[in-house]
Amino acid sequence: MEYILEMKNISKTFPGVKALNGVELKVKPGEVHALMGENGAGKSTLMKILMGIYTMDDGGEILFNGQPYHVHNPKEAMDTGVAMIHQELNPILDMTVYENIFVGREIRKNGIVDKRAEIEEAKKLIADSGLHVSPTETLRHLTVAQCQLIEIIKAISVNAKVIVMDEPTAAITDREVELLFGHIRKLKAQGVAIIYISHRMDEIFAICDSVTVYRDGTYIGCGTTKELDEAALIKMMVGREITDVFPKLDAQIGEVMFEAKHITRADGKVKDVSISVRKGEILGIGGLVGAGRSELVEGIFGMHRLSGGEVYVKGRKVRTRTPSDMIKEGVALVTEDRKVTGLNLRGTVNDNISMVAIRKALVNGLYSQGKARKLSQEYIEKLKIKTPSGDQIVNNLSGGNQQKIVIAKWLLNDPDVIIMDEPTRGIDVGAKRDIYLLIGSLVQQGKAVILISSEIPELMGVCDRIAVMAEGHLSGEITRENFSQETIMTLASDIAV
Amino acid sequence: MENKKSFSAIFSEYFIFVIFIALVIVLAIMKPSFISPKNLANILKQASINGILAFGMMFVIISGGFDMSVGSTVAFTGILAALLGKGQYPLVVPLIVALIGGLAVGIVNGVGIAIGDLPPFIMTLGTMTAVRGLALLISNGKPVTGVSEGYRAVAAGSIAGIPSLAIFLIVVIIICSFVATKTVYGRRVYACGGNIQAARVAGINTTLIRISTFAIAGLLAGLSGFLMTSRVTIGQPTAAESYEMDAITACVVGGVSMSGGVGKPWGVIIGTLLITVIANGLDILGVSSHWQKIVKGLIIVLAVLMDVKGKSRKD
Repeated sequence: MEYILEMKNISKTFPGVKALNGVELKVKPGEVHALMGENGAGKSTLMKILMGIYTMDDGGEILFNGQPYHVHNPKEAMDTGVAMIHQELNPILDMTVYENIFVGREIRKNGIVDKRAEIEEAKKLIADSGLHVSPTETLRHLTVAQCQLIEIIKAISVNAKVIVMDEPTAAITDREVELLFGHIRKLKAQGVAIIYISHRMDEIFAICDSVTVYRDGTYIGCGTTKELDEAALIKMMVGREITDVFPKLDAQIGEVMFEAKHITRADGKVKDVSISVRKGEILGIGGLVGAGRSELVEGIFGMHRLSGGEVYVKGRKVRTRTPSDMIKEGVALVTEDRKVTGLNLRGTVNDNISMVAIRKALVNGLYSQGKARKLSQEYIEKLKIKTPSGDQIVNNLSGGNQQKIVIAKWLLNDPDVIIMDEPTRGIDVGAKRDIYLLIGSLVQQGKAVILISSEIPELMGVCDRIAVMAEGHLSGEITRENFSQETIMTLASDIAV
Repeated sequence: MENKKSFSAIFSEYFIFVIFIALVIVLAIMKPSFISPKNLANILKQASINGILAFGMMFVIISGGFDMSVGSTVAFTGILAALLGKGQYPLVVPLIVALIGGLAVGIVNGVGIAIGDLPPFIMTLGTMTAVRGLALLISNGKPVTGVSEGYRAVAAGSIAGIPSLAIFLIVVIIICSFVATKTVYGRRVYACGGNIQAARVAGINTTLIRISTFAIAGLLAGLSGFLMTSRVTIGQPTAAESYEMDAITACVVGGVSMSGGVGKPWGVIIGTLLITVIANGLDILGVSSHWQKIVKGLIIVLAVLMDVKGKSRKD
């Protein structure tokens, strides 16, 4: 038996749409197998079939360990040896580490939960994984990366032969990514197969052995990371060559548009940071996760109290007490987490696009659905948002399209200064390119853009100037002619000055 | 994702409407007297106070809140109106005082929740208990009698065959529907309930919006208190017990999501009418009030079940 898991001719039809069309996935024991494709390619649907959340259409076949595999829910999948670590972790924050590991399959003694045995077992598992937490700690007190490792420990403890990891690095820092990769290598050595879903190319080539690519619900191809390169993978995913991953449009750089001086946050997460950006300029803010980049812009935007600092827009000092103060001055903030602070997921595309500049959707002082629809239609076309209509509920759209809606809602307000916090996180190559081009056209129109990103190549590709933060302070600033990965990394890890 | 709404999606969206029509037809066939003009007027009358409360509740729930205190507020403001409505002042005085009393309770709720950061359930559970105490206190625990003729006539009268209570309801419905769907304020209430953090970042004063929704609920509870005293002709400190639950039921049955951000005024109208029609219809059929409660409970659960199932199928 060569493969631990074989999924053949898998199709899945939802009312009105065929999400998967006869795809296949073959995974060998002890390999890390990347599953790639743009948003909407069908990766999650396939994984939900594997976990028993969806039922596949007739005609498909799944073999696990050479045996036919039929599961009806995630618990049966886990009992069979397939576990999944979700993109958005759902640990029970108020329960302890050991309770989370054993939730749903508690160790029982005479029908009563054997707490002592659970703690003992958890202690062993934690020690094996090299994690330093107490089994009786509540998860609320752990970092995201630690919670993720707990999920992995849980998967190992059920003796999973196949572990699915959906965007496991989306929420953790670079240092923690290394830790995670260490665990993945250990699992490989034990013969566990890992299905790895990620949009980050560097990770695919760093940790994966083979890659399967889907596009629009169909199987495109499979190969090893040794024989494929980044360009070939992108071509498989997008269906055409993307010669220029980071397009940069020429823009006329003018006078200073926006200046923040000596910004210090009341909670101490940002200390004495000064930045400025000119008309037509793209300023990047780099740094490790936790360096205080989002905290800086949220402070500037009036979402958190500042204990010091001043903000100037077009040379005039402005108030920064609430977001609406900044919005009035023509500043926009595309926040980091679109689901938490960006979108009303239960609302329609029209509702969301008209959220900031709702006054534009008024007729005689009253909200007009027709006008809101017309305005949002304009941006749906401009930003190439893929949606059946403006009346679609935002939650039903893919990540890239949701991100474009967040941007559209701010652009409708016609801002002069646009701050974007990780605008390309978790979205596919094609949508990323659309956003870079959009940023380029914004500065061409004479706006100023501040771009926060954790991906150094992205910052280097798009920005005119990069300010780097470390531990809440500004550790340096580099102009385009001096950009280099090493300089940025050195500044980013500039701990305690 | 679907390009066109399937039949099942449309069906689930208008499910409650279908149920309502079906129920009316069944009742009309079983008891033709059900659709007599007299009984229809009666239904409107019975629906009016719950309907007014339900529209206040609609704003609160759509903004992501929840109000347990409206029943007590109705009793409290009803007592206020009864004490001032014995003929010693013009009728507008008890009306204004009842409205102000309700508004005050609503603002207290809103401030505790939006500024004090208390969970809506806890805050309004507190005011529900305390305001009931207040009603007992100012009435000495006894019914307030002696309501003037003119005041009694408010609820008893009718215009062109439509009971005046129903006219109050219709005015409230028109104003509330207009505010919810046509004003910037209304859209912002939806935005707050959909995602309060995103609303804040979008420059919306979410604190003010949340306080104002509770204020609206309180104000309408004050109006209900005024009307209730006129209708029953005395001020009863123990009246309007569990009216908040009927208001919540009307909203939920009408498709207002308890998690906020979703709900349509016409749904609340249907929800209110459905509950009233069930009670009225079962009364006409001679079914005991004990059974009525069981049926009402089943309807709530079934309506929401269909709603949830309908939505999960769409995803």
